[in-house]
Amino acid sequence: MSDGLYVYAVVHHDGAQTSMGEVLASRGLNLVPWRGLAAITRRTSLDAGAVSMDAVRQHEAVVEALLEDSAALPVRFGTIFRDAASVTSALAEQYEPLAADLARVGGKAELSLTALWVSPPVWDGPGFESPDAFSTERAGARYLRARAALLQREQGARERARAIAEALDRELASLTLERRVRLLPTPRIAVRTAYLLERSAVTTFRTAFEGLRRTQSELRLLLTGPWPPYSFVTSAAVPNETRPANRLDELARMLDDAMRERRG
Amino acid sequence: MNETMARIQEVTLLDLLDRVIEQGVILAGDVTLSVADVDLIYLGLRLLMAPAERLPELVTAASRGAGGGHP
Repeated sequence: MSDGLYVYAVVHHDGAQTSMGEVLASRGLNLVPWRGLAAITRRTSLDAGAVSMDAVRQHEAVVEALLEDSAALPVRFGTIFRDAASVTSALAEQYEPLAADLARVGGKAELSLTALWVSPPVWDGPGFESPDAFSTERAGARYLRARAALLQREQGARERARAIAEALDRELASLTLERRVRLLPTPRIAVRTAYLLERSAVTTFRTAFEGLRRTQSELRLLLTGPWPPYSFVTSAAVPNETRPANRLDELARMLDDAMRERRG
Repeated sequence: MNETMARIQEVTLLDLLDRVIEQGVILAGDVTLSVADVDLIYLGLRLLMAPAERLPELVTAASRGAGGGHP
């Protein structure tokens, strides 16, 4: 069975790397340098296709440990190269965007805010007709009217989610550097926002968040992190359009099923 | 586990998996589970979230669906 190199992160390379020496040594990690950058790697079997929760947690633990000592760009889980030459080739191919990302987000933290509906939004009143109101019509017309009613409800939910996102922004955005907002990423989630901020601002942000959370009755607000700045990396060898759509929805559904099963 | 704690755990797990698997730098590795084998990683997620007693059945189903096994 042949070995490969599992890549965890990309860091600045200044030839010394003294600040990271202890982390690298204690975790059996190595540097594969290319000009001013280096990939943090660990030797692994090329057959290491094990997708396990332990592997996911280990990946995250290594990335977070690296970030304790230096600025690093987190690499996506499961990236394995055959040898150091392949790694340096990949670094060379994306050198400029990686260096730019490291300068922009390196050393910074990401927080994730999820706004869950306490109960699903119900839309009544003028302009929001129940599909049941069309039962006396002919089938074709009934279908079209019901479809229009559904679209109206979805549009209403989206507008409500947008208003929620704007309200959150008014309270929290000034404490952050960048944010990525998703409206209605799943039916249960109104808004999901990733915030990029200086590590020194995390405590202030949490305090502001706690104040906001206590005022909410329509929503349940949850904050996780700090995470490595996964959501703010722009360098990518694979264009986003090649990824299947609605992946988060699928992931959320799988987790929901698994959690429900565990709770019995 | 009460409902609130369960919800917190679920969102934390979603946030972790969404980031580690879906975000971050994408380097075109020789074996890149989340790009080259999209379906497998999701079958893999089903495995890691399942109760232990269901693992044998899920591993068998995953192997059949992947055409013979993991990379």
